[in-house]
This record gives sequence, C-alpha cells and structure tokens, in this order.
Amino acid sequence: MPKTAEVRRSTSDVARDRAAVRDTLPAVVLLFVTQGSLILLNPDGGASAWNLVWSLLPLAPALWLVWAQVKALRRSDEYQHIVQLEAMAIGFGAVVVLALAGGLFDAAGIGQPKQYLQITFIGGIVVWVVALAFKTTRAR
Amino acid sequence: MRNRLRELRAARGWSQSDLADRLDVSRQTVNAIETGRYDPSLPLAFKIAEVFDDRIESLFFPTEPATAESGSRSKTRT
Repeated sequence: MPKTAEVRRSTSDVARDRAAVRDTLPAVVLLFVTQGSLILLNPDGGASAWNLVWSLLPLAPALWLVWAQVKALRRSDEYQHIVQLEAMAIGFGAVVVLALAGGLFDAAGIGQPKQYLQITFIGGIVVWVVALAFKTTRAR
Repeated sequence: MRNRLRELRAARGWSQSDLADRLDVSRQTVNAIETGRYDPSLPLAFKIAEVFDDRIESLFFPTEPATAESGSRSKTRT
C-alpha cells in the first residue's frame, strides 16, 4: 500500500495534466487534419493566394501548440520549470547542431535542403521530448 | 543543501504525494528536494516550514565544506 501511495500523482499534477490535455488535444487533431489534407489533396504548387493559404494552414495549430506549451509552462511548479528549461536547452542545442549539419551537407552538395529542414524540425522536437522524459523519470 | 523533509514526512506518515498536495507542487518536486537534487525557492521553503510547523533553519542545512575541517586534500568524492 505505501508504494501505491508513493507513486500517486499529486492533486496539482492531475490538474496540470488535465489542463494540458484540454489545451493541446484540439490543436493536435487540427494539426493532423490540416497536414493530412496537404498530403492527401496535394496542392498543385501554383502561385494562387488560395494555394498559399492552404499550404500555410498547419501553422495555425502549430501556433496553438506553442500557446498550449507556454500555458503548461506557466502552470508548472518551480522544479518543473528547471526540468523544462534544461530539456528545452538540449532540444535547442540539437536544432542548432542539426541545422548546422544540414547547412554543411547542403554546401557540399549532398542531399536536399527540404530533407534537412524536416530532420531538424523533427529531430529537435524528439530530442526535447526525450530529454524531458529522461529528466522527469529520473526525479521519480 | 541537506534537509529533514523525508524524516519529518515519514514521522507524520505522509507519502510524497500527500506532502506535494499540501505544498501544491508535483510529487517529483518533493522527491527532488528530499534527495537533494533541488533546493527549493525561499517562498517554497517557507511553505514547507509552515506545513511542518517548524522553522526553515531547522529543516534545511548548508552542505558542509568538503575539506575545510579534515585538513586533507587526499579525500575525493565519488
């Protein structure tokens, strides 16, 4: 029984997690919908205003996610602030290194800039999330 | 910095989650403070003192200097 009590999340943890899901879930769904529509319906790449709006549509849920992340950070307590800061620093470092590597590969004529952009974007998020998970797990 | 949180919490029969509820922080935060990985801010330290009905200076202690009293440099931390 003591172990069960020990691993129980605190009331503030539960409230924070619920609020985070409430803020984030609609944005994630919208991101999948907008990104999916881009992939499935495949805009023709023309220069029309409609095409531009359609291509930039996933930015709306992405900005929503940024707002949700800022709100989650404001809700978190002081130790979680530090954990988040360290994880973000590691993630930012990964983005810088990946962008630099992409630039160097591009200068050498290897690969496509679009691929490096995707790798940098996804890689930065993955490193950030893994660093956060690692640091959070360590504190358990 | 060292502290007596674990000892005082155990004396009251509270889990880390119970203490976290009283302090309005996450359980990870309580765990990090107890294990010495994190030193709380002054407002949180005051809150902890209030929860345990004690003074801050009897809950938290500065870590002793490693070599000042031993007079030897041969000891190393592992």
